[in-house]
Amino acid sequence: MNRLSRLAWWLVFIIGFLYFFLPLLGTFAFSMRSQPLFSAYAVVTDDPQFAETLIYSFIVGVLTIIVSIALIVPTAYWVRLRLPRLRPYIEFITLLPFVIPPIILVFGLLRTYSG
Amino acid sequence: MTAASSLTAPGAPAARPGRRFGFAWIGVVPFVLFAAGFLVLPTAYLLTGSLQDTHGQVTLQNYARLSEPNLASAYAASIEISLVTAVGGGIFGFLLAYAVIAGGLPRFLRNALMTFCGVASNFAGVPLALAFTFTLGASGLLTPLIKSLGITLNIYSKTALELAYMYFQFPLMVLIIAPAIDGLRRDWREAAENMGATSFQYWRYVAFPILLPSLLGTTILLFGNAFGAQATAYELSGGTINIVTIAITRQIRGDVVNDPGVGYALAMGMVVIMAVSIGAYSLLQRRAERWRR
Repeated sequence: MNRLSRLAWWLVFIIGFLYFFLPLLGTFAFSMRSQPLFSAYAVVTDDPQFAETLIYSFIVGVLTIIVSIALIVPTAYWVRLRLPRLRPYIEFITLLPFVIPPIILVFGLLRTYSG
Repeated sequence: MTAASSLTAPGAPAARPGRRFGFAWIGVVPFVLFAAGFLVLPTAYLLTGSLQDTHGQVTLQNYARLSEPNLASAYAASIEISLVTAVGGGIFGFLLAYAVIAGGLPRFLRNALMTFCGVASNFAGVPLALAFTFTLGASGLLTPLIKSLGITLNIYSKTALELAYMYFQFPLMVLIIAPAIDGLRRDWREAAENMGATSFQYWRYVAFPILLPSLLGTTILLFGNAFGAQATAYELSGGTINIVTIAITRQIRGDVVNDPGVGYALAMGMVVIMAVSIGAYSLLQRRAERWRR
């Protein structure tokens, strides 16, 4: 590995790093515009509605994980041991969420279940 | 003894023809019900809706209306944005992954980058749109610098959206392509060099053909990833940019007086494009795995 090509790889890395970092820095800088410094964070944490939404998001996240594991682990285990013939079909179904974008799924769910 | 061994053999169920199916299928009922209720049924609803007119008669008219200028340009814009960010993110993501894996950079940078990529590839939607607005928007962090360079970037434009999409596109490329780059064995390069191959010849005749299915497959996956993205575009442009996911959002909200059948056809068109790209991805991925045994 000669010196020039290593320099080029460093350059690639630095560009990537800046791409990651600058939008986060921009967001942080924006949050610092309210005076005194960090007061925006105080406002957010004092807002009871913020705590409520955060807890709600957290609960929804945890519930999704629990339901997914409860549904998928036994199914995968069962298909592997007892119904290997179903495997291609089950695999096809598990690919569907990648094929159907979330917005389409939401559209379909709303039209199917909201009267 | 033969009976006992046949029970543990992989072909055991065949030894009991009467119980080939039995009650084993009950084990997959919860999964099948879930998939049917929350995946298949909603999609089937959209599909049947797309094939009916407002009076419930079977028709293909909804699909014909996808060629109307407004809808056709939404598809064109979606495809363009997805292509640009898939190819751009694919090339840059590959270079970045190669830099930390084989570019002679310190080892800890590789782990740091992988962790960062795991986070960034999921950093989409409202937070991402806000981050870009704070960075490149009217009073963003980098806006004065960009203006002094004589560049004007409209945050509601396609270019701005593509820049924002790149934020999750190239990290995803890094994550998926890294195992393929790891799979390039040192012996192959050494063998090529011993036979007098130049670096270009090694890439042209060894590394590139081996990586090609992975590169193509991952780029297609990135295409699908950008094609299905909605929240980032909605938040960044305030819902003004005309791409398919935003057009569907308008249908959901009932913002436009429109035939619901057209909305369903719009959705099914997306499903078809996604199905083709995911299908191509899994095909290419299977081909790529031949080299990783």
